[in-house]
Amino acid sequence: MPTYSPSLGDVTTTTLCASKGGLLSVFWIDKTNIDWTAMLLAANYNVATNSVLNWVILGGATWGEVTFQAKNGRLDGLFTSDNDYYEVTLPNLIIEGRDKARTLALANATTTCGILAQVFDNNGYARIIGKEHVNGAWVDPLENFKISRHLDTTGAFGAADDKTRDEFDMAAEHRYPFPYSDVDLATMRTL
Amino acid sequence: MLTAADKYKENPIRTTLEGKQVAIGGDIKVTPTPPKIPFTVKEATQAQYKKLEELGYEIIKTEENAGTKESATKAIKGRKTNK
Repeated sequence: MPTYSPSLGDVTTTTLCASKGGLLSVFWIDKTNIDWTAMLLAANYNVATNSVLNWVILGGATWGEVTFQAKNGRLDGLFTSDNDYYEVTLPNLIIEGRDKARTLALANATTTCGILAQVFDNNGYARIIGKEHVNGAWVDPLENFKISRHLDTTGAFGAADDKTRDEFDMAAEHRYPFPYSDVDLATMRTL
Repeated sequence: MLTAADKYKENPIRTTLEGKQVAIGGDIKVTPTPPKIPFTVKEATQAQYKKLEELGYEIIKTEENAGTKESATKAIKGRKTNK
């Protein structure tokens, strides 16, 4: 991460209007499947911009892509001076319908308490949750990234927003603003 | 001749070099969730190992003397890390 120190430089609104809400896609992997030593190389992480440039994966491990109702997705990082850390939440990931394979996959995911995620928004940016670069090293966040709620429901008749679905939230606590990633969607789908 | 450090030979890793996946330490078979098809990431070529060395990966240089089995190895120093 960059060195954060008291200063009050310009904070500007750009003319890009990159303000489209919501998420494009989410990828996840058990963080033990990443070579965190190699991720320290300048070729793989830009400390000045706090950005991952490239992923180094151990063996044949793969990133999984979570396909959800994109219209509902959001990523929040909330800092308060009382807490002094960022509460990171990825709430209301909703997947309509039901199948046995997904139930199994989500049950497996709920038992994984060290999830690393790359979350794409709709403005061409991606953020990393579940690991942070502090003082020259990659460290675990204050609270690991994990599924904090999973609703496995049949829904009910009579309401458009109450269909059969899996619905889950994910949460973590980071010391500092969570990193960006320059690894694009097309590349992530090959990893 | 360039080759991966022993730790990578024991546990190969893969990364992306110039837009293509490359394995360090040996070929890696990747079995993604179906319907994606399994594939193999090939171990880096000598030219790719040279580039990986320049990027700071732990690559070993073996210098073989012609006509003898004698060789010398040395680890590449001066890794370019973000410290």
